[in-house]
Amino acid sequence: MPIREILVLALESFLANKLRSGLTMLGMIIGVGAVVLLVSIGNGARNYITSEFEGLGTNLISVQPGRTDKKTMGPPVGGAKEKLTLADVDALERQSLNLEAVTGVMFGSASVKVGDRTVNTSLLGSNEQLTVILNIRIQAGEFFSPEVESGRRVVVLGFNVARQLFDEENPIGKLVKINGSEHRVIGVTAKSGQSLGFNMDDLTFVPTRTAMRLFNDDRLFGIRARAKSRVSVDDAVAEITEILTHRHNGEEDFTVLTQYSMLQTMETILGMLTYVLGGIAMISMVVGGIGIMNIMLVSVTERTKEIGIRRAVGARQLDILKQFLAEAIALSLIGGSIGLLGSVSLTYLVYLAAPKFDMRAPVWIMIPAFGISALTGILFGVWPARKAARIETIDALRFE
Amino acid sequence: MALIEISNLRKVFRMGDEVIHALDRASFTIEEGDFVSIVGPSGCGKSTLMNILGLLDSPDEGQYTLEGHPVQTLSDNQRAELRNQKIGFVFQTFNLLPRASALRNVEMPLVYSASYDRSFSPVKMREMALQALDRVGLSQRVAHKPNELSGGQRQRVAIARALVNRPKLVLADEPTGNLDSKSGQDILQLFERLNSEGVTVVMVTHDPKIAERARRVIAMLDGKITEDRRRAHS
Repeated sequence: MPIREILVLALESFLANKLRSGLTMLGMIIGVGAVVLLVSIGNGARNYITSEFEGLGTNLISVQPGRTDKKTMGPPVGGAKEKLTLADVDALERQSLNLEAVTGVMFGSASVKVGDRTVNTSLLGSNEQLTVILNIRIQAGEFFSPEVESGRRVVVLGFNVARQLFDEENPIGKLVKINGSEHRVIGVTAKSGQSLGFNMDDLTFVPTRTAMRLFNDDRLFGIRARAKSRVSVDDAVAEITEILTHRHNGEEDFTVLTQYSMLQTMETILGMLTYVLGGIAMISMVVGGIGIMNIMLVSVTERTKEIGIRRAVGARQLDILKQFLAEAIALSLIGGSIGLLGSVSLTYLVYLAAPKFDMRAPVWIMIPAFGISALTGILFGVWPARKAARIETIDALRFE
Repeated sequence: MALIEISNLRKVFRMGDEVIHALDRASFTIEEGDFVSIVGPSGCGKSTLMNILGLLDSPDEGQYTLEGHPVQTLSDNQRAELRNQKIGFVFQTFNLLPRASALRNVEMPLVYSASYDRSFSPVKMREMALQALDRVGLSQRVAHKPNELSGGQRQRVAIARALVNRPKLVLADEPTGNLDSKSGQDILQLFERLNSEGVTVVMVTHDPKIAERARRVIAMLDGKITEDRRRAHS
């Protein structure tokens, strides 16, 4: 039987039972739609996080106290024993050839108070080089100069913190109370906005030693550094490892992370997530496929007489098989196409509404979406089609 | 060479404990160009015989030779091909596809012929189907669906479908059974005309009056052939 004729028959049968075909296709529409949507969301999340990471700069290097367990790849375990100190930072600054900037950081929460206004913020202690490392811009006043690093009670407010405490008033030179002790405001950062769910504008910056005093702790939260260029990141990592290991009596009790390695870890996790989401959505394809099989079985029974007539005028078993299989494939392909079109349009609509989170469906999704719906049609169409082909002609002709 | 030659055909059905001899050593030959009716009361085995002649069913025992070729050993596909190329069926209940137009119904066998003959283009199929409809006098009704046609017209569509592939043999099973007498007469006249044009017609009926319209009458009872006579030319 020519392909053209098979397609015409499939289409005729499709149009003859519009409602039933539509309802059957719904399973495939939802199945393919779910696969495309979930993969797109996963993909969008990955793109979003990747671009955010890249916005922070790929030259960024972090050193955390504690050794990362190479087996479990878990986060560094900060024990009391292992610590990074300001002396480590000094050593890096003096000895390293590949670092553009380096600072020890302290991190914790603090309440900042002016008059009757209190803002609970995250407090970041660092030296003057932090502006280079994290691309911080200053809107008013100045960041710490090397001289104030000693531990004076000065503070640079994040854009939002300054707003909350002083409204439109100029805060430079004013005194604020951080956890009860007075600090003078010397600068305000420029608005930088959200990045990775973390807003630099909500931070309060103090010199490292000041933070140590506030938190009553001489261990650094970590060290942040910036390599001179993207290509020197690996050299810088080796250098840091060597200098610090030497200083820590030959023990590598710290972990050096680069933005790049974090990005890779993140991509691996998010890539996995995309596949898992896609896999879950596949279950709905199976449900859709079973729906098609069910309807095809009903259709075969209903059309037993037709099968008999066709066999009587010379259709071979294979011709009948092809006819019913084509119908099943047509159902799943048309359903799949509608699902694909619908879900892709939806991702574009979301993109229009929220351009920042770009979850537009990737182009390659068309191939698995079509492939899987065709495959579902074949898989769940074969059995009913075989059943149709094997009906005895003479019984089929008598069927009423 | 005879078109059909059967010898000692046997077919037995079991219904519970009862054994029914649908065919009991039936033998005859039919020459090409003949018009034969097989007559007998219902349950005499004439429909079973018809199904076997039409390659829809197989005998339990005996020989059936179509155009000199024994058909017992044929595969399912080969039987389908012979049904398509050599045999046309006309049924009591017409057996048309209800959703398809008269033209599509008549084209249907050609769709399967395309598997055997690559030269069957859609245009050629359409032409052949229109010719067949013209032959039965329905060229004005090609786009009508079966439910838009009268019983007699439906049976003529079915006859056009049987004729479309220019078969050697047309098998008709109670072709007038569902028709009023006027339409029945028209259909019988159509068979007579087709026969005069060279088509071999074998018609099964329970009605002796209708059977008399054929040139040769084979009577059956309980699976046996009880009479086989050639009607005198009137």
